[in-house]
Amino acid sequence: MRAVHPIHGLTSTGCPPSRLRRLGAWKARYRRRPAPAMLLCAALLLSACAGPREDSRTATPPAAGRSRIAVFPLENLSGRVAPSREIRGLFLARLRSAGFEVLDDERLDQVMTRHRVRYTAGVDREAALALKKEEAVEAVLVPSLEWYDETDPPKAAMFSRLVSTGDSPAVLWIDGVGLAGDDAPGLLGLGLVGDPNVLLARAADALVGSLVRDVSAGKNLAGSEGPRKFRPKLVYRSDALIPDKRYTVAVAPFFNKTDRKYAGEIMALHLIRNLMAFQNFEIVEPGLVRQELLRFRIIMTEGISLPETETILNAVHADLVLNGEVLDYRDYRGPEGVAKVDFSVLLIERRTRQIVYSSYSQNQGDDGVLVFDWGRVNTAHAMASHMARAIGRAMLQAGRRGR
Amino acid sequence: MATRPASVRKGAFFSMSTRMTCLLLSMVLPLSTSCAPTVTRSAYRDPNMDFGVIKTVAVMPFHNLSRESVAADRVRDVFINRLLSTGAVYVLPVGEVARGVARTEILNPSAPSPEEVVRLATAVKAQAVITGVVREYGEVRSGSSAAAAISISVQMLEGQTGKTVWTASSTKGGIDVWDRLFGGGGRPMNDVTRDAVNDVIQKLFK
Repeated sequence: MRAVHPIHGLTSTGCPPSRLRRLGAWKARYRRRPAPAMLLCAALLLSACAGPREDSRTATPPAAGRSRIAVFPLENLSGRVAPSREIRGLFLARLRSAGFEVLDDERLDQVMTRHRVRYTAGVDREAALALKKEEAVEAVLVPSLEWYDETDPPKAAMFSRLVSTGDSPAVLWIDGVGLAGDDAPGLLGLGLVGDPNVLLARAADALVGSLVRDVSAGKNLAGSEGPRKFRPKLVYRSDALIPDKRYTVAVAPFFNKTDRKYAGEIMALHLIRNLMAFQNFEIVEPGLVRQELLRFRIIMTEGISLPETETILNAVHADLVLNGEVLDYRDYRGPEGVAKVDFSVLLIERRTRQIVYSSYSQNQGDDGVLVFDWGRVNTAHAMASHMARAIGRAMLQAGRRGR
Repeated sequence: MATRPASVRKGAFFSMSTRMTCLLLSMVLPLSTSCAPTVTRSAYRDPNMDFGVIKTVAVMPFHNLSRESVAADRVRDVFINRLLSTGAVYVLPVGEVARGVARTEILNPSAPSPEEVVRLATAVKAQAVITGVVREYGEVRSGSSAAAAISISVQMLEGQTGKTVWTASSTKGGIDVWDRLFGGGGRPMNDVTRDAVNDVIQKLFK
């Protein structure tokens, strides 16, 4: 693992401000002589920075007096070797600099050993209670690595969520980021990133920054509607799903029919993250759902059945269970290729025991791309995120009450 | 020498030609009628079936005859979504169907026997069971041209008797004249799949 260089002072486009200033000066110089051909060239070159990418915002300045949190080991969903410890180290450093009091590893290990906590991709009731009582930890940060590829241009995609401790753990915040080295090539390829560590640092910055902002603001923001092309291709929505009502949703594991390991878990995280952005949905911590599935020895052979739905919903006190299957979830290595995502979603209601929402989504990174890769999406993470957000809006019909 | 007027000669010629045409037509017409298709259609509806009583259906896993491994799952997903969105029938969740299949011990869920259909329909409380076959799914090639193509067939079996009450098939996509002349690779697979499923479902509600 090479040394990680923290990147400070980046803009929302991922371009350093000095470069943007230079660009501004260049534009001001030529404003007096607006040759049409020159303007056209500039527009085309600038358009290379304008794909529907994930946010890669910087961490906000440190703020004192924040909560005491524990950081679980990184859940590696990439299905390949990745610098897990280093990535967790990035999170720890950024959280401490943002003013969070982070439980040290030794004490965390002691609690986990004492309570035989083996599963660290979620927080179950016992672990949450133990951390609260024994170490006065208020929340647990669960980082997940979705994709990591060092091949030039490098790619990295990550999730992170904050779960409350105590007797009823709940997801307080979740966000994700997917970055590729060629997301914003800019003028003459000056924006290209060749070092995977830079991407990892940017991803950690973006996630911790989002957490700090969210904790400060006390709420999420649904954001813009996103490109039309990411809307589900087929939608069924029952009238039983009331847009103004607040629902508690349990997300059951998705069925993975792809050759990508953990695609089901990744898709579930995308939906949790994006449904959390709407104030109509409260999401049950996936660790709790898993605990109940194990407790009732529920093994889903192909999909979730109605008795299983009822059992899960009663156990976690939820109104809806979200389930689905992933048919394709593909990232590509190197500069050539196209990301693909293909999945279907099913939402079953507790009261009627019926499907209230069902949709089928399928996209690939070069959908709607006509010239100069304008609008191209380089990571499956970024694409799946847009698609999941569009599903949330379709459930609530035109994104009503987005928060 | 007395010659016949031109009009008479012309008339003789035309009468000769007309006779030949008539003769040819009388020979070609019976031959061409033998080429006409027999009474076959891409859909069948049992005329004695009251489709109004079908409120809930179970869609079984589709049988996959194509080279694409997830083609059957993909088409089944699209089919279930489209059928649900018509609002005419309720489609059981796939997990509930899988549970019914396991409970009734159906050996081949994509081609159940009438007895198995009756057992399954009773177990999952469905009025009908739908099975399907994906015959072709993927890219077809002809020379330098390539395009997405799909061919599916679907049948509905009544839950009380296990009898086939409706069948339909559809083939969409493939290489057209435009693709041959200008290339372009045809339409996306997803669009072609949607068209084929729409076509099949329209045949149910006709």
